[in-house]
Amino acid sequence: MSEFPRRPSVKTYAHPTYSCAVPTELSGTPHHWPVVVAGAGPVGLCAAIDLAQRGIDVMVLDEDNTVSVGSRAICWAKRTLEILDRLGCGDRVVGKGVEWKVGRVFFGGEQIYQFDLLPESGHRRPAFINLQQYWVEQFLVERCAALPQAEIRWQHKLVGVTPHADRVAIRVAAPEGEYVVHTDWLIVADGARSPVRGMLGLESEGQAFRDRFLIVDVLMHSDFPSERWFWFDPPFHRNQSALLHRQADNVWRIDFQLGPDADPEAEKKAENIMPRLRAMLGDGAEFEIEWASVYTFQCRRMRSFRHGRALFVGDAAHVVSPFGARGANSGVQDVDNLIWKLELVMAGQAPDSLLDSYDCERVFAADENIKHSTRSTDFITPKSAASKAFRDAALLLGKRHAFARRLVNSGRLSLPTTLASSPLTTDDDSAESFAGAVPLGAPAVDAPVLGPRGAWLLSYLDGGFTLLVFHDSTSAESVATLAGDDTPCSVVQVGGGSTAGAWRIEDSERLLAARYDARPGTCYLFRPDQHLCARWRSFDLQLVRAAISRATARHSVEAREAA
Amino acid sequence: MTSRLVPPALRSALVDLLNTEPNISSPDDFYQEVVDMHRGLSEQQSALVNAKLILLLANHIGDLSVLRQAMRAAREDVAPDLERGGASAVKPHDLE
Repeated sequence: MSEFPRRPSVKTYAHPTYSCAVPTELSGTPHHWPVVVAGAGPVGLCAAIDLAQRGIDVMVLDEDNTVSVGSRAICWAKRTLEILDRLGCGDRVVGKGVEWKVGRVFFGGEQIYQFDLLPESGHRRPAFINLQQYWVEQFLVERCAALPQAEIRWQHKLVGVTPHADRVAIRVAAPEGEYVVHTDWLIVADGARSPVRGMLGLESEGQAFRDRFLIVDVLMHSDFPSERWFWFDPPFHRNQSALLHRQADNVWRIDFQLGPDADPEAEKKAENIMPRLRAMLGDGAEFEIEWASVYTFQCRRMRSFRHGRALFVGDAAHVVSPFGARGANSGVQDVDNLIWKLELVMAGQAPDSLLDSYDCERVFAADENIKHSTRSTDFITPKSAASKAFRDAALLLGKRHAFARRLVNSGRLSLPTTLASSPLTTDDDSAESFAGAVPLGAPAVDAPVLGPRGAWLLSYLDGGFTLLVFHDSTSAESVATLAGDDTPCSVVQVGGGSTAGAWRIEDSERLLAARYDARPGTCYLFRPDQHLCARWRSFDLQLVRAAISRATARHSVEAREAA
Repeated sequence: MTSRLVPPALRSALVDLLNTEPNISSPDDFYQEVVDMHRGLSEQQSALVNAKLILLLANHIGDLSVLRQAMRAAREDVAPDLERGGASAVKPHDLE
């Protein structure tokens, strides 16, 4: 897709040029890598950071020598920001990004309604921030550089892959020559066109949409607020849609729907873009084009995300339409789901079948994302007269009636998937019921707390299993037992007295108990990716250990061995 | 169908059934008014007004299982148009 050298430049961002040393494989004995990641995009980089933070050596291969050329993924959802917090990058991404909560929807020349994404306070991270993909990648690269276990090999292109039962052999083309490495696990994060997927003879199946879209980054000194504006059939772009989003450094993302017959090469030219922008932004606006691209999109996924020792993540595994920001966000969540499982399997603490649960959980999530983004696409680009009539009907009614606003779909908020029916989840005791904001299988919902590791609940769920116990009902002996198990589990106690070995936090604003429908004795067990996998109304050491056993796929193996 | 003569236990089982028994209090008035609603409209405008009416009524009903029964009943006796590709016209998306 890319040719060297390319030195992209935009006014607001200087692309770094990365390099790496001549690999030892070319001068001596080949090094064995426990994990190789193909692709240094946001998803591959997150995988490398998560592995390195867990003390696992990882090599990342990328054919390029810089970050993303275009702004590409720009909306980073709350859940992604929380994962980036765990990966040590949350503050930089949020600090540089533009926070937004308000969206406005226009039909013709008129505003139909506006919405607020996160009306609730008491969360560390906002519903969304906007930030150009190249900034996020740069922060992730710099985080990798601070971790001795991670090595990024720029301009090293993966050109061959041979899977074996016990390893994967990889051929790499570096500027200095070709070499072969062997790895226990290959994480494939090389994007929608995934060359590795092709080399393995695998496919991603689904549908391609015919509508073309023009995407333009515009540098503008403007009074537009930090909001998302979406137009259906605007006066400046009749019978199509348009989207305006603010990014960092006074760069605005503008999307124009072009229809299926547009000529992508012609539409990309500045002389054709300028009149569209002028009509949209008005004669008084001062702006310059930073970057433009014409794209079509697809909704497709691989049948399985796991092929032996090759694990597919992000766009390589699944692609969706851009409406609703479910591309990069779901890719980061893939990694969040995968890496802790890989660590346990590599350490021999969980059976290989735990990795099958990555496939089943993230295929489920991909299908949910594809469903949502396909529905948004159908609403934005109706394919029949009846579909257009219902679309316009919903928009017109939305102006006057709240019910119809809920039918308007310009992209649904990207929310993390709830893994309720996962084989790793322990069902609630039928005699116990839980209200609150956290269904079984959902990621933990944040809340302000007071304690030794910071002012937010999520900083206490830090990469391992964690049992959250409301009010003191565990003994030091139980805490020690859980900490000493093969798959250790730390204990966080909310309120009550202190127990040796357990973190103790205060529910400073009483939001924690409300969000978790907590009573004295209530226990929540979180997986290393902060998803809720079991809960009880009182503490029982053996039930907690059984739930951890189930969440690490040992449960089924033990049952089989016992049979 | 959900009249007071039906015992409460049975009534709750019946509310999610589409009522296809005569239920419009003044059927001739309704019929005339729904046709009159389209007076002076182009075909495209009529389609839009019909769609708005469907969405308003659907929201009033609310129950998705009832709405699904109504959609199924509406499609009864209307075969796919072979001129428009027959069964394949049902395919929801254009494939490249």
